[in-house]
Amino acid sequence: MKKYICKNEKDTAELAKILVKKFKGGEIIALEGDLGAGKTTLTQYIGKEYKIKKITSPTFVLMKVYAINNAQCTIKNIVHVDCYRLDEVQELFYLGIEEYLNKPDTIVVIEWADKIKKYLKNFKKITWIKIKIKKNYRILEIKKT
Amino acid sequence: MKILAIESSCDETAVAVLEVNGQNYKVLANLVSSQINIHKKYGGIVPEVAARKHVENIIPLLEEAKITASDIDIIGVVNGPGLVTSLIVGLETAKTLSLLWQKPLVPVNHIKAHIQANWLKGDSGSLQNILFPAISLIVSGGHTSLVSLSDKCKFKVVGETRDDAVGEAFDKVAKLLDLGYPGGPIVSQKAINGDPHKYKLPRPMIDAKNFEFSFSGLKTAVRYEIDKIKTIDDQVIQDMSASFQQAAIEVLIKKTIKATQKYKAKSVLLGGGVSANNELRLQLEKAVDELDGVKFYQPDLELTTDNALMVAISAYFEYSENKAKYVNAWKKVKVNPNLEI
Repeated sequence: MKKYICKNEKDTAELAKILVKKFKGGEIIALEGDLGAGKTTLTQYIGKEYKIKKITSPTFVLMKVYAINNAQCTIKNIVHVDCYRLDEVQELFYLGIEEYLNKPDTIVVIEWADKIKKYLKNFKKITWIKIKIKKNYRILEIKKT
Repeated sequence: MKILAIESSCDETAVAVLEVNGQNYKVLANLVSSQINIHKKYGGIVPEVAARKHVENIIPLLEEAKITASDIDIIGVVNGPGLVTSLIVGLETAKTLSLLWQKPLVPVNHIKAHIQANWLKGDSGSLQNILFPAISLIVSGGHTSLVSLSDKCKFKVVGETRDDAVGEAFDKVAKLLDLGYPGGPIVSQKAINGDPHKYKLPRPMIDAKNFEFSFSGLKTAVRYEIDKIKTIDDQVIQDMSASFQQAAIEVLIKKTIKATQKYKAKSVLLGGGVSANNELRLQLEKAVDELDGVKFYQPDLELTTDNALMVAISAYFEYSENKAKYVNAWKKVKVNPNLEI
């Protein structure tokens, strides 16, 4: 397990850069952390690395798909999922999440992933990131499965 | 002209029939299924999955609207934005009716419909005479946008949220205060007796030289304040709700007024689920009233939440602009969960 400390958004941006460098496609980023931890912020910075300018909260629609417009990049989509208001995993299934999980040209970022921990056991290449809120900083614990 | 309209973009299934003749309109049916009614009708528990709810609701609602092919002239249906699985139910139903009854099918943008709800006032009467240019503030659980209108069907987004929608921030603050979900209306309720200046919360991007919003940080600021307090009693809940609501409303109002001035708007239109918030209605109306020659419009309360009546009026406007476009449209209309204005 690796631990990072993010004191501000610059640190978060830096961490996003480190994560993205290792992506080959098919990765799943599973985020855990309370309201206000910065899960969406981290996702926005991951998106920025792929020149996706506008990533907004997917809480309401559960899942948003962003296309990466770069012919040189083998990764073509970033899928942003939010389990915050999810009642059962089936809802994600109906939205077509399985079309994207572990798909070689797609990165899936899942907020509140702890809510679907059991379901995610069916997939590989998962990076679990647990964000702990401290007074003026965040501790991010990163674990790969 | 009689319009049958269907809305199923999120949790509500809705059907409406609207008659428009020139400047006059009459609501013939406006039905929104809440789970309670469905439980009554079927005497059982409805599955959680929104799409399945829609499937079960849509036909009974159409039956209740008591329409036949000869009663209507066009069909309007929301094709986005929203949940793809939910949207599909409404759209496929509308397409089927369109083919079967040989009626034009008009796809409607859910957000535009929220704005156009402002042309209706009450169950019958004449369409509001809204002057252009107009600025519309759309606030809901999924959207926070400022839109400029140069005509009934000519929209341009001038600003949006960069992260959370304002309604989402209300829900999440409710969660932080342990008020349950969806908590937006509870926060507003608690705020009534609270002190809006008790806690110092940021007004994100209030002085930024654009019309964008950000509510994610405001939610985090509420969290920090709560973490500082030892016991969260009802007084704290009321004061925090009021302080948060005031912070959110102030940003919304200041940006709306700025946009109104920049675009020299003659009308300001409020819309979306959060437009049911009484404090927002009152304070925005007051702020617009202070501007010279600008008129404020807000939808009837029952049209603030998702409904099909707004879809009917939207379909009517769109159809009137270009009738030929919608003949046999059932062949090509598709859902688009991320449909933009």
